[in-house]
Order: sequence, then structure tokens, then C-alpha cells
Amino acid sequence: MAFAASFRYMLGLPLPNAIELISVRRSFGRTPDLADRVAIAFGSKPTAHVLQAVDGVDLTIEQGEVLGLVGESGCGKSTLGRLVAGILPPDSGDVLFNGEPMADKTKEKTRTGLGVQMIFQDPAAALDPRQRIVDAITEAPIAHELIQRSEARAFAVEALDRVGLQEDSLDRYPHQFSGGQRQRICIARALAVNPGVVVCDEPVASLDVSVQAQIINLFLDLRDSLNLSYLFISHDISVVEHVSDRIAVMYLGRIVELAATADLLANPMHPYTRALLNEVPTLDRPLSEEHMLAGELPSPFSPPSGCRFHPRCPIAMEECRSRAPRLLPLSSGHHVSCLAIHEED
Amino acid sequence: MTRTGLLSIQGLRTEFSTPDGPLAAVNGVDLEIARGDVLGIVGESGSGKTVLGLSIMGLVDRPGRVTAGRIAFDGTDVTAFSEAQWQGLRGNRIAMIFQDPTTSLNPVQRIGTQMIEAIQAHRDISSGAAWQIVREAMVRVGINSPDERLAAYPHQLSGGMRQRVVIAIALLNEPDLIIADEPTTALDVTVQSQILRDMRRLCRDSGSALIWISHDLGVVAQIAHRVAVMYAGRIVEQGATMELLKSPSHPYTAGLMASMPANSPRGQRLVSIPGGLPQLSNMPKGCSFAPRCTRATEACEVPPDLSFISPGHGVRCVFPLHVGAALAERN
Ligand SMILES: Nc1ncnc2c1ncn2[C@@H]1O[C@H](COP(=O)(O)OP(=O)(O)O)[C@@H](O)[C@H]1O
Ligand SMILES: Nc1ncnc2c1ncn2[C@@H]1O[C@H](COP(=O)(O)OP(=O)(O)O)[C@@H](O)[C@H]1O
Ligand SMILES: [Mg+2]
Ligand SMILES: [Mg+2]
Repeated sequence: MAFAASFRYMLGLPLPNAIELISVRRSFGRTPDLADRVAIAFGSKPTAHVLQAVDGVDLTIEQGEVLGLVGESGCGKSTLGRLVAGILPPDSGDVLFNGEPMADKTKEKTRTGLGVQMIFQDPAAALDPRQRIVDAITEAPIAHELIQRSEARAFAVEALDRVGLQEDSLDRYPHQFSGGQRQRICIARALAVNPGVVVCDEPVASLDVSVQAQIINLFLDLRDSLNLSYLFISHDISVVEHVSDRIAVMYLGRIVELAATADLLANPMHPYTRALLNEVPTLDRPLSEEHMLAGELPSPFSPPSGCRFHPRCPIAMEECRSRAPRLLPLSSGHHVSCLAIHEED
Repeated sequence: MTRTGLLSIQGLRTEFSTPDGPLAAVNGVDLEIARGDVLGIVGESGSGKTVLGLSIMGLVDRPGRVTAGRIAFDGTDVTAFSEAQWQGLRGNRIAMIFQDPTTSLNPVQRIGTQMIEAIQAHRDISSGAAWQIVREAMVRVGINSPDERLAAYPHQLSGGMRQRVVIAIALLNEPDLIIADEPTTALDVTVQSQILRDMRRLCRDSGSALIWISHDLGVVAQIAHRVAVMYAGRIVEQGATMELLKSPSHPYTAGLMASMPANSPRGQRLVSIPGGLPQLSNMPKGCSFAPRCTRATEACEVPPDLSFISPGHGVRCVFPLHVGAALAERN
């Protein structure tokens, strides 16, 4: 795979996308909760509950690119991240890594599967409390025969050094570290298998502001030195804005807008993106009096028909109730999924 | 508008006894809040914000204890109040809103029932009259179909809706002071901004004073007239919001602001504060921020006194920033 990429590069061909998603869908069934079980016990017909967490997403991440993903909680960001990382298989559609189908890591452990790694919000939960740091970092590289057992300690020292931790961390356990240090350990572990793509799912959300900045800097440094691609997921737009080359905005399982970062922020097109940006608290602008987003996020179990944003949309047209817009490019290269906008373009 | 004092805190110290010895979660805090004031308290996790809020509410539980200082509420010293005395104040003249609304709601009781009981605990009023008050309170916090929500159980509402209900309950008895402890931290920005707007309006209308606690300076800046920055149990800087944001004087405040992604050019490394919070059980002798501070010298090995950069803008630092600038502006 590495050979193929460098070969294409020598021939002056465009590099393949690191990640390509084609019409990817993933749903979850809801296990009946107490209220459902009571209703069923009293003779109601069990309602079939399926939730479309990711509903037909097309997306690419170029080599060396940081793609940011934002949206309200429950919109499907983590599910999309897990699909990209191969730790959750799609119901339909394709996830390609360097042009090849992504390994389904839930079934097979292959070396190509190592090419995409994931970092989670809660570093404490991601680490085994009984595993020493040296073992946490070298477990996968040894299992996949990337390194010899005899090299493990030297390898781990280097891996820790890359994330700013000292050799004396090797024989310690996760609880002996602060939250920021634990996230560094998770990053070192993810990078230990030389991935090309790292899915970062809210990687700084559980950290304090002053530590958050240290970890964001680490992500920026590693991207430069290792030419990594990131899918960088966060509900915090100021964080995503800072690290991303492009930003995708997600709403109820679908991408509603996708554009270069500067372009998206200077010229948000989708009414949802506009509302979202308007609500981000900043130091330089007081809270506007006007609230741009009506109502609450609809239940994902019964999403609105047509455009899923139409019940909250200030510019919704009659047509939006029945017809689902597609994510289409505008002349500016900005992609947006909105019938009202494409009508004008 | 002249603002008269409502809450006055002097030298407040709240300690927890732990296996490693006593630990001061709140370590000498002074605060003054007037009627109608909105004070924001910012600090990173573990800085003592929640314990400060609980101390003001008389809710510190063992192994914690207020060990020093004085809290006066509307002229009455409440520091030595009995639990019975507290129950007359709490939920009535002082209300607290917590980050997790489920802790404040009874899961097996309908919302409406809980709200009516909250009123009747403090007022002799018929259930019919209470129901009217409850409906109005729901509408005031932006809940449009109150009857439907009042009939619901807490788990049937979204997180944002639950937090609105808790706010409606806090406002029921028109308290003089509301302490809101990170009420929007678990919510999306879209819901957060709505709640911030509602709280701002409600406090304006009712004249209630508000203490808004958050780890996010951006959120506090949206709502507070004054900001107090907390670090390791102490308030290290305090001032009018605009003034404090324009000229942060404590190196920690300046560092917090600088480390916000919006304050660095896109894609560039952020300014970060080296190191992490000190352990409360093993605090530095003098200024608790000194081990992380680039300006620190031996002079910082004694706890710094509060000094004033300008009227109302106080800082606990031997080498505050912007002092020259502030003085020049005043002259
Ligand atoms: N394993 C699962 N089983 C059932 N539902 C799930 C599962 N994972 C996610 N969901 C649901 O899918 C939707 C999207 O979730 P998620 O991808 O976690 O969103 P986000 O990360 O944007 O908050 C949510 O409604 C969530 O409840
Ligand atoms: N019940 C308790 N027992 C022991 N220590 C406590 C207890 N509650 C809080 N603390 C300590 O008090 C300090 C301040 O906590 P807290 O007020 O919750 O911080 P914040 O709200 O700013 O995140 C923390 O170091 C915490 O460990
Ligand atoms: Mg998520
Ligand atoms: Mg707290």
C-alpha cells in the first residue's frame, strides 16, 4: 500500500484519498425500555424502532488532511467516526482506506486495519487500568509483528517521547497520570502501529482548557511530522475550526454542509450552520438577543420527512417537507444540502 | 440603579478530611454580591467552584466542613445556621441549579407534582393557585406546551428540557439569589445559548442576583457583569467582565484566555499553560500558580495579597500584568 502511494506520487498522479465514504449507512435498533416493556405486557404491539444514525454519507479525507466534523450531540458523529475506523461495519455503502475496502476490525485482525486508529474522549476508559504503560503501547505492534518483544521497551520510550512523556512512565499504571497525560498515552498507543489516519472523537472534551491547548498542539505537531490525516470530531466549533482544513457539519445522520474552514466560517450557507455558528460563545461578541434555532432536536427515531432540518428552518419551503436535498457543490466549491440554496444557485 | 449588598463572604474556608490529611477545597474566599448582580465564577475542574457554591447553600457534607470565614445573606450571618434554619432559606430565598438536572428531580414523580410541592413547602397556597404559578413558570423558561410537560416524568424529557424544568423550579419562589453550577456544560451550544438568554432575561425581570459557575470563560462572558477567576481554592482575580477580559492581570487569567483556540491564528500552535493544577493535598507554599508561571520569582513563595489594579478590579499576584497600562489609562 505504501509502495503504491509513493509510486503514484513519483508518476505525478494525484494521491488517492486516505479515506473515502460512499453512501454509507448505519442504523441501530432500539432495545425496548421499561415503558415499552410495560406497554407490550399490557398488549400493545411492539413498535419497530430503528434509528438511522448515519444516513447515506459521502465524504473523503485526503492524505495529510484534517477534516473536522461538528454537530449537536446525537447527530451521528461518533458513529461516523467508528465506521471510518473500521470498528463498526456499515449496513450498506463502502468505506475505502487508500482506495481499498476498509477491514472490518470486528471480524478480522489484519495489518491494513492498523492504518486507521481511533482516539476517544475519555482516556481513562480507553486504557486498561491493570496494564502498565509499556504494555499498553507495545501490545498491538508486537501482536502484529511490527516489532520484536525484545525491542519493546526501547520502542515504547520513543513512542512516549513523541507525545512528550518521559521514560519513567513505562512501568506505571494509567491511574498514576493526569487526564492530559492519559490522553497523551492514548495518542502514543494509537501511533505505535504507524497509522495513516487517526479518528479523534472529542479528544479534548474531557480536558481542562489549559491542558486542552497542550493536546491540540500535540495533534498539530504530529500531523506535520508524520503527515497524518485526521477525522477530528468535536462539538466545540472553536477547537475544530482551529485544527481543520475542511469542516463537515452533520445534522441527524446527514452531512448538511462541507467546505474549507475559512470559507465555512466566513460564509456559512446552510441555515443550520448559520444558527450553530451564531450560538458559539466567544469573548469578543456578546450573546445576541435573537435565537436563530427554533425548537429542539427532533427524536432520531422519528426524524422529519424530506429535509430533516425543515421543522426548525427559517427559510423552509413547502417542498422541503417532502423532498430530501442532496449534498451538492456550489460554484464556490462549497458543498451544501439545501433546496432553497440550490434553487438560487 | 444603586445595588445594595445581598451576599457577603469573608475568608471562607471549606476543608475535607482525607486519608492524606485535610485539604482546603475553598481556601480563603471573599465575595460581595449585590441585588440584581450577575457574578460569573470561572475555573478549571477541581478549582473549588462547586464546593464554594455548596458552602454558600449550607450544603457541604461530611467529610467536608466550613472551617473558617463568614457568610452573610441579606445582613444575617448564616455561617452557623442550623439545618432547620437553612430549610427556610433554601429553595425559597436562595436556589441552586446543578450541572446534572436529574439530581434535582425525583424520577418517580410527575414534573407538575414536584413543582407544586416546591411551592407549598414555603407558601400556604392552594394546589389550584400553585398550578397556575407552575404553568407560568414553565412558559417563562421557554416551555411552550406546559401541560404536557407537567404531566411527564423526568426521563421523558430531553436533557435541555429537564434543565429548563430545574430552572423553572429554582425560580418558583422568586429567590433573591440563584447559584447555577455549570447548568449548561452537558448541553449543546444551541441549547446552552437559549438557556443563557432565558436566565439573563429572567434575572433582569425579577431582580434576582445570579452566580453563574462555569469552566468556560466564553460562557461566563456572555452573561456575567462581573467575573471571579478561581484557581486551586482561591479567587485569583476579580473584576467587571469587560475590564477583566480587556486587561487580564493575573498570569493565570491571561493564560486561560490565550489558550482559547479562538485567540491564536488558525492552524498555529496554541499558547498553552505548562504543567497542570497543583494537588490540593500538596499545595505550593505561596502563590498556588507559581509552579506554572513564567513570571514567578522567590517573591511568590509567600501567598500574595489582594491588590487593586483599578476600582473593583482585584488580583492576587505579586507581578500582575497590565498594571502600567491600567494606571496610564486612569491618569
Ligand atoms: N450502539 C448503539 N446502539 C443504539 N443506538 C446507538 C448506538 N450508538 C449510537 N446510537 C444512537 O445513534 C445516534 C447517533 O449517536 P452518536 O453517533 O453517538 O452521535 P454523536 O457522537 O454525534 O453524539 C444517537 O441517537 C445514539 O443514541
Ligand atoms: N466529598 C469530597 N471529599 C473529598 N474531597 C472533595 C469532596 N468534594 C470535593 N472535593 C475536592 O475539592 C476540590 C474542589 O472540588 P470542586 O469544588 O468539585 O471543584 P470544581 O467544581 O471547581 O470542579 C477537588 O480537589 C475535590 O477533589
Ligand atoms: Mg459522540
Ligand atoms: Mg464543579
